[in-house]
Amino acid sequence: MAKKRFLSAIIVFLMAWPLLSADQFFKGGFSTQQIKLGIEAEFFDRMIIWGEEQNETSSLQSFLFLFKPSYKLMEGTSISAVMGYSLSNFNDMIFKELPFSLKLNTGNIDGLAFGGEAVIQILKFSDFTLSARGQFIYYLGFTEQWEIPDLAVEGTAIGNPNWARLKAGPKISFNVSEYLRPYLAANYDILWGKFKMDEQIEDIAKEQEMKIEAKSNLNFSVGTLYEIIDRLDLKAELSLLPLEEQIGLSIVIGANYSF
Amino acid sequence: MKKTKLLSVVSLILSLVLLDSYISAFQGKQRKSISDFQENLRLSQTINQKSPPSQSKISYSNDHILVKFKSSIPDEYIKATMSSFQINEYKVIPRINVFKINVPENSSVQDMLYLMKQHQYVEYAEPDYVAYAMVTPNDNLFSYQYALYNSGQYIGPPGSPQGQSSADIKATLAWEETKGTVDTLIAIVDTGIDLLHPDLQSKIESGGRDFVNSDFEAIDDEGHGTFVAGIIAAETNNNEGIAGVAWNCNLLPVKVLDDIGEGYYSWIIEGIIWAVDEDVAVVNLSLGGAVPAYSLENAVQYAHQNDVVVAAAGGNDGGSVVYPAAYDNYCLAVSATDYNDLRVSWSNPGPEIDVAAPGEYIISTVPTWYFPPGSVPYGFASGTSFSTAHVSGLAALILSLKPWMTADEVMDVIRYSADDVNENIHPGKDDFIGYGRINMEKALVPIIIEKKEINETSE
Repeated sequence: MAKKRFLSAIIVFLMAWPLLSADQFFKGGFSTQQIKLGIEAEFFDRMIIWGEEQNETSSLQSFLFLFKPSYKLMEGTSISAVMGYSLSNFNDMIFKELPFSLKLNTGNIDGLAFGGEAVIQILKFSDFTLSARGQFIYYLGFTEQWEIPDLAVEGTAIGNPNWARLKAGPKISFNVSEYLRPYLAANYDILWGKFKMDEQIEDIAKEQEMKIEAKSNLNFSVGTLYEIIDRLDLKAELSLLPLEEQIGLSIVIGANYSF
Repeated sequence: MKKTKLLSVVSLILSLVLLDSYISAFQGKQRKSISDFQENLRLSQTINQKSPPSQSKISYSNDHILVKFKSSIPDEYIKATMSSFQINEYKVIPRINVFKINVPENSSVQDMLYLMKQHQYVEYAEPDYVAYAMVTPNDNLFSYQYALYNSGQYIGPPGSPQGQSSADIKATLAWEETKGTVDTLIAIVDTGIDLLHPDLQSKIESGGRDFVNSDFEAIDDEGHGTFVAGIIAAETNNNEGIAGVAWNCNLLPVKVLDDIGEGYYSWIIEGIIWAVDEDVAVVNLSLGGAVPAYSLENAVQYAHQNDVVVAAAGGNDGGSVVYPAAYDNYCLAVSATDYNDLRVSWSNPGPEIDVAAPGEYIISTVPTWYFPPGSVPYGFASGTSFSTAHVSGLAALILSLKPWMTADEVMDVIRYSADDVNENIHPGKDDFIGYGRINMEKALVPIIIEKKEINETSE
């Protein structure tokens, strides 16, 4: 409960900050404070652990399509709200506590994604900039129903997943030119959530709630920002989670337009 | 039950002569073939001796990998690539040109796979995974157990009928998921059990309770209980006799029928209650009477209230379902099918029938005193008693895997996982085989749910 409350507070704070600062925004000049509107697409594939003793593994694959308005507080420091749509694939998870054990092979489950992001400049030295960045995303999966096949009677499985991801860490970027700014980052990257599965077969009505969490919590990223025209920059980032048995990855591409 | 007994005795005597001579004649041949099998297929032998891993466990060689180079890459380039990775030992699998590469000592399978996958010449690189055979016990009479695995074999000695492939309860596939646990106890409320039978001795929890003679040694002086016990949980994978449905589960003998296979309701009632109080998971009642009795109903109700699954025989005279099987709320009433998945004519029909299981020409254990010395203590018999034993075995496996399940849930899983093998004439639940012939695989192995969504608005 404490964890939930803490996370809720972070989400509310991150989403409310641009609104709370609106007064300052309108009083302040556009020269130092900017609003950006961004869109971002991310795919990640990482190993998750689950099961009665959290000893079973499978991979979670997710697509995120995000709308990302940002508010620049000062040079190198900004906060963003994140909202959008996600498709998450939990295939191979097995719900063994139900009367009929069920194994997921349902593919992507649609859902909403929202959260926030903050980047704070810590140090600028020559063409190098050291920043700290953090991001929180919550995926709220839609409830889906599937037929339980091959039984003597009709049966339905009703699934409802969600997950949250919090990542934070240092980022060092280098101004190669006026337009190109590659960067390296390391992130403490945790993911946790649950999948609620309801089994309904005539007289059987049973629910299993399965906790999930990411197998590894560290990732390394390489990426770049590239300003293709005035006010419009593109972003590409590749992250690897090397401590997993099979290397997890995340690929992000995005575009930002500054006002 | 009389018919069961009569059929048992006739079948056993006839079978004895045939089976004994057949087994004697073929034992040498069988032993030789097993010995050849062991010499030639050591992998299979190993698999038979240890529990194969479940499908979710994946293992692979830790000293070699499989690599395929792109077809356009000349041999010299491949050799040069091998040298650059210090690979000295490899073998080409012909026809598909896959290289089985021994990983150098200073490297690991994971590293080598990673490097190979990055290489521009490589089409694919993968571990050499280990495959496992389906769980097939090595008990030498397993091939006669068409009820557990029917490949269309002859169901008994030469001259006996041939079964229809897949007309079985899918035991071998289900055993991949579980073979049961020793702490799952099944009460055989019957004529007792031969406590010295070589295929049962190690599976019997205790001397049990004898309500016929009022003592604590439920010795079988008739044969029926021993036969039922063997179907449920004979010692399995011991190179001897038959396989039990619930390999690893244990048996509690409760004697409530006398030496002619008859018993007062009071003995049965006391037997059920005593077994429930001994913390059994399942009560097998391969018995029944034509007359209802409140006290008998109360006894099975007591078992049910204590989340003990009760499986009871539907009866063998073609009449109404007998009691206690007819107590629908508390018992799984079982009818009989044969080696072709057809309901047998003598199996009692009625709305109380929940499921069916093979009950025709079933092989199982018979008491060691039953046949003359030198005979093998196994025989064939028919009856819903033996169908019931298959269902009890399945109930025990479900509770081994999911001990938190209630009796109602276990009963529903057994019902709903059944195959409606007579759906062409009686679709859905019917009076003859209920929901259908039990299917252990569906009841135990996770069901894969696919994307096909249910449209709530569809008509």
